[in-house]
Amino acid sequence: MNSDKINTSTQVGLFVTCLADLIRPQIGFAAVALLEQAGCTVRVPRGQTCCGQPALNSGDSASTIAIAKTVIKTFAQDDYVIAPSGSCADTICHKYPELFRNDPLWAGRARVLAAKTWELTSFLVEVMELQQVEATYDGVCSYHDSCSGLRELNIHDQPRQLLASVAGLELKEMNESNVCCGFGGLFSIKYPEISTRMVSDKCANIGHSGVDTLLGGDLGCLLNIAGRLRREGAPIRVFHVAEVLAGMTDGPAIGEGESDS
Amino acid sequence: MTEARTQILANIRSALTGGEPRTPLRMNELKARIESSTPKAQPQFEDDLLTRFCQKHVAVHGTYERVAAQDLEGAVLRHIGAHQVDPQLYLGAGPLLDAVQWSTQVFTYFKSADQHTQVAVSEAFAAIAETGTVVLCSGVNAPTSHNFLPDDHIVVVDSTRIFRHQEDVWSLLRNREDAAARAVNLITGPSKTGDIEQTIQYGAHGPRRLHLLIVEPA
Amino acid sequence: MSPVTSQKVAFRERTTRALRDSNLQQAMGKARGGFIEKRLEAMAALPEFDEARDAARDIKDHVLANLDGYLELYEQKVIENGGQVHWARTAEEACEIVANICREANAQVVTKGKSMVSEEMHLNSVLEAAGLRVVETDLGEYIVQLAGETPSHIIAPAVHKTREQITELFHEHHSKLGYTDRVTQREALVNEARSVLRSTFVTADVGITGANFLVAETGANVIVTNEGNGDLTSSLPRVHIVTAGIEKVIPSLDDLSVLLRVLARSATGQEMSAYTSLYSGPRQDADSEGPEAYHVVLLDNGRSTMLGGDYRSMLRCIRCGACLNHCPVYSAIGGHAYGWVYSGPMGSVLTPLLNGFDDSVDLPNACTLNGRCKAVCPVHIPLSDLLLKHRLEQYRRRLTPLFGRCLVRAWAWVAARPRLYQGLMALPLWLMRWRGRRRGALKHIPFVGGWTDSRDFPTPAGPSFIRQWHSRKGKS
Repeated sequence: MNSDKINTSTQVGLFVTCLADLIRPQIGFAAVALLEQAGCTVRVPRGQTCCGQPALNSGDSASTIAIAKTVIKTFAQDDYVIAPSGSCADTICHKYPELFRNDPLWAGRARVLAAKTWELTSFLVEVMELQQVEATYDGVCSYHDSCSGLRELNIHDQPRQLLASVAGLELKEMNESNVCCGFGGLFSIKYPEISTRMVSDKCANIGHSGVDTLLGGDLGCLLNIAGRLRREGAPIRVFHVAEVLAGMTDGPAIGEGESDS
Repeated sequence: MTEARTQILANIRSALTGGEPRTPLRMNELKARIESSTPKAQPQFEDDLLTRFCQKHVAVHGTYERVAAQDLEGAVLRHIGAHQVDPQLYLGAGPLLDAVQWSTQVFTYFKSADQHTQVAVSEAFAAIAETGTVVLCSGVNAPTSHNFLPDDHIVVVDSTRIFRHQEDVWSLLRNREDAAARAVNLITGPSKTGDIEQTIQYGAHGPRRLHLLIVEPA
Repeated sequence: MSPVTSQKVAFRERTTRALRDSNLQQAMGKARGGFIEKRLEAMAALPEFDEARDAARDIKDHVLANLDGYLELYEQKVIENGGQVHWARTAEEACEIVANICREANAQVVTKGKSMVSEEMHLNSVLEAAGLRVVETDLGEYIVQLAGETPSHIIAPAVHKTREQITELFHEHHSKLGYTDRVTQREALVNEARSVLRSTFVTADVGITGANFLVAETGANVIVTNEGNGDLTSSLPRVHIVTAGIEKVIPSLDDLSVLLRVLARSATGQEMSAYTSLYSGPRQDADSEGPEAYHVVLLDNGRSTMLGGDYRSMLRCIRCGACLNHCPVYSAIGGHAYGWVYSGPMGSVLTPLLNGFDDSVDLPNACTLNGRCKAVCPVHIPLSDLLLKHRLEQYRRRLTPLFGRCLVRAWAWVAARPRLYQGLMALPLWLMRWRGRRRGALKHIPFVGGWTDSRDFPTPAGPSFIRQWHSRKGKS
């Protein structure tokens, strides 16, 4: 492991994201474990909630700005800010600077935050130069590329590279792994029919690939896909990539209950 | 409608410069940019031009034969014979085509094609190796209808007029002695459509077959 | 017909209908993938593709920044070539100009090459009302004309039709012309259309085409087709009319080459379409054929306004259709659900700008912002960013439902206050956990039936991470 190379340990703030915080806390613990494995000191500030995407994507810039200011202040002291989500990292990296474009007071602070914010797997691979993890997972997995991470942050190889080091795990690509699952935040509730059609296509591709586990880097997409798989009765387990990399897959997968395990 | 013209241009100016009129100086800058324009983002390839041209032409479902200038009539007859088409030829013009002494085996017409025309024989102004394209210019004896109405379009290509990139042909057109052609048709393969089930079908409205006779210097 | 008529039928109703239309779904299913693979192959075969895209964007940006100048230079050339240029502020003005030209030419039959601008103008209905017979000649557009529809895709107008539907349409309309057999094979269908349209091509009085580009250097209009219909429309009738948006002008032939390199590859994955033609002016003294008169109608229709604001980059669009081909929403609902001429991502950006924000509230929202459109655009239009910009604009204009806006605002107010947020979230979280503890997922959640009608909602797996983390840290 390359973490030995780094003399003074790298300090990071974990932005756990609202969905992981509320629905799947284990992703937060997995992220912390991986960051520590890579040699980081992790801080989890209490003053965090959400990056503001629901407000931004609804066109409410004033509300987004209010939330963004909270995020900027909360993470001001950290050397890096890490989110286990490409979508939230993209909001901070690309949307915040744009939001404050005409605000001389905040534009600089937004840019500073943007420059030090990373999605988890890309940070582990590109900054911490983590080559492998100590984890075991017995299963055939496919990886769903979430849109913002893939297209705005170029996250594609990093999670796959780390997954390749998980003992027992076989990675099998599905068709259209780079096509949107139909989540889109409030889109999934505002336009349920289109969203359902898209997630059904995604589930069909997962089914055809013959895997037993679906992985991804964004909990929003995973809730959508797991929810649909569950409704279709498909016996496919869904985990966030961090859970698998941190070896935290003993409990129920996303959408599984006590009765399943 | 000069009112519309004035207003549209004024709207554009106000959107771009806050309404500042375009000065002769700025117009001259634009003219200079046009005159000094240079090729950009050209595909690089190493094959020799003839090889590349033929390969690209075949890739778009075209056919060709390399022939000597004196064998042009024979080559035309071979092509139409293979497709059992009457030897009624609508002829275009060009240095190679004009030199052919047509025998009595064919009927030749020097007029526009009509909806019953089966074969036209044209000569390309130039050809482009980059994409396997032939360039046809309209002119006194080169009606545009020949390029689009017949079932079979046979195009004579002088192999010394195959150029590397599209832009090379623009230079030739700019420096041509004749008046600029009204119609310049860049033709890459026979007519086709994908409008039914997104599946390619040849011979949509234009020629079903595009056959090139590539003439190499003796 | 008002351009916004179809918008009045609610977007939701149209999408529901589209998703349940088995013919549409069958046709779209067949189309899906083909365009994408062919584009990838074409890109792989051209290492300079990205360089060409950047160059294409730069050319378009340069033109847009000097649009008035290039339009004047282009106009001068057209006049030198013996053609006439007409300027139209609105679709109505443009239709009037075209109708007048047809009237003065005593025209009876008009052939049309595919022109999205003429769709934007709703030209066909205006000409038909003036007593003309108007025949679309692009095979796809001919099919939708027979069906009494409009194109559902800018380069594949009949992508939503199955072969069986086309068989029935041809049988219905061609029987009276003597084509009494019901043909079902693709080749036979294409041949029948070829044969039927041939006589129209040679008898038409006026040909109307669009323009992919207008070249200021020579005054030529450029049209790109695979069928050759655009060329027959441009060359055979007595009068040729070109309808084009003002943004179509480009400086030089060298610029044309760059744009052509990205156009066909992005559209159909071809290196070159079969026919790329440059037409400048009417027939010359020496020509034995060609139109006696050549007219260009330049349409503004909101474009000059777009030039000044945040949406200028949308005027780079070269109408290749790549964003439609790659949009999962378009692929699910097809083009007609969008309710106006332009569909898919480029349509969702353009329609509010050209047609008004009020009647197109759904378009920018019916999108997951997945960014695939932006990633494939050959001229780097940040389509998904522009859709987000539309949402901000809608919010400013209070066009979205009041209840939704209040809800988001209230949530955001809380989210900007972490302690309050964490306190308030605890109860619903606990309730959901308790309800779904055995199954691990909820089958129904009040107020979000949109989700739970078709999907379970995974149950929260414990108290929030922040709460757990800090209580653990507190104990240790």
